[in-house]
Parts: sequence; structure tokens; C-alpha cells
Amino acid sequence: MAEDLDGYESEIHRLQIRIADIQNRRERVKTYTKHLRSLLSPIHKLPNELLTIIFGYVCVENELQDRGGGAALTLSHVCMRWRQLTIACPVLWSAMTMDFVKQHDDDIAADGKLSTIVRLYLDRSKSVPLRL
Amino acid sequence: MVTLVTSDNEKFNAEKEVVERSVLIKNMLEDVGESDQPIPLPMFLEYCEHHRGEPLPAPDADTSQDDTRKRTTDISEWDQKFITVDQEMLFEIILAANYLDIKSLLDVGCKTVANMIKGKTPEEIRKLFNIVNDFTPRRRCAQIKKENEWAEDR
Repeated sequence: MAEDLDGYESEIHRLQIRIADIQNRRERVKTYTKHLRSLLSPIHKLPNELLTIIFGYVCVENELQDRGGGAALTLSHVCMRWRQLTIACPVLWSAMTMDFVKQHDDDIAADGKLSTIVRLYLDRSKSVPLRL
Repeated sequence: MVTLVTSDNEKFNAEKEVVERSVLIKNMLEDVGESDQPIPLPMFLEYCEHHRGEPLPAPDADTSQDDTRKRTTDISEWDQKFITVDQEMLFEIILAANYLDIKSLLDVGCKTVANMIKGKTPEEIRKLFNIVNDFTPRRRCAQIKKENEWAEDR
């Protein structure tokens, strides 16, 4: 009986490993299929210079808040291509809108976050004249 | 009158003043001169016809550096209606406007896409345009993680 039980246990263990392996492969195929489908998406037809023009319109005003990083930062978090494009285009980071009215007097952490975001924008706007 | 022909061989007659809104066609007409030869062309006549008589942009206007046109994403009511098409067609129009060098139509297309993006989170933008998040853990550097914390991806 004990031998039978051991046999069942090891069989279950072997099958569990096999299931995990198949699930893993299924996830990889799913990701790959998603990636291939995405390549057919119409926005991928646009060359970089046209995407940059669009980004220019999106970043007319980067509303910087303690809980919001502005349009340029949002664009740079979409995918690798958009990140490379936005970072390579300093003008997108040069228009900033900020509200300095504090809602909570003791919210120092929020101020710290905002100043970190502002520093990032100043850094990425390079020598482009700022619009505040 | 100028004869325009689409890629599926449909022919249109249009006035020179109308089709000259496309800098590409204007240059073609100047290069070729008066001719009976048809000019190949995708659909854009309706747009040019509506905007007939409006001043054309200066030939040396640099679109990427022209800051003033970037300050607003407002689109006129007629243009908005014209550009209310599915994504596939919208991007085709943008590409055609760029190829034909019709700055005003290119602006309308780009502003439309910009308005679709505005106010959305990265995830919503990916979903809207079917873009894959390719920041794999290996490629996602510490900087992106930090930025995500600041912005909290709203």
C-alpha cells in the first residue's frame, strides 16, 4: 500500500511539473501572438517623425503634480520605441504647468515627489527654452 | 483642370487651385507643366475642395519646429467630422497627407491622434492602439521603476 501511495505521489509530482511546463509554454506563445498582432496595429505604420509631431501636440502642456508625471512621462512609459523617441526630443519636456497651492500644509513627501519630477523634466528638456 | 487617378484606376477631374493644396502635386505640376497626363492620387479631394481659397503655408515653413501650431489641439467642426474615421483610415490619411505634403491635413490628423492620447494612462494608450508593453523585467531599468513610482502611472 505504502509503495502504491509513493508511486501515486511521484506520478502526481511528475504531472504537476509537466503541467507547469505546458502552462509556461502556453504563456510564451500567448505573449508572442500578442506581439505579432500588435505589429499589425495601424499606429505602427507611422514613422518616427510623424509620431514626434503627435507627441508635440500631446505635450503642449505637461501638468506636473505630486501624483501625476505629465504627458511626456506618460508617453515615455508606453513602450520602448516611444520612450526612446520622447527622451530624444527635449522640446516635449520643456512645457510645464504646476500648481503651487498646497492642499495639506504638512505634505512634504508630495513636494519632494513634485520636485523630483520637475528635475527630471529640466534634465530631459536640455537647453530648450522652457515654457512655464 | 487636372486629372487625378487613384491606385485602383478611378479617375477624377479637379481644378488646379484645389489640388495645389498638396505641395507634392503643386511641385509635380510645376515640373511637368501643362499636360494631359493623369496624376496618381489617393482620396483627399474632398478635404482640399472644402479648404479651397484658404492661405497656403509658406513653402519654407518647418513643420517640426513651428512652435505656434503646436500650442492648440483644437480642430474645426468640419475637419473633426472629416477625420472621424476608424484608426486604420486615420493613420492612412496622416501618411497620405505627409506624402502629399498637405500640412493642414497632416495637422488635423496628428491633432486627432493627440486628442485620443491626452489624459490617458500608459496602459490605456497601449490598449487603445494595441501596443505591447515591451519593458521586460530585464530591459526595465531602475530608472523606469523609479519614474513609475513618481508618476504612479495615474
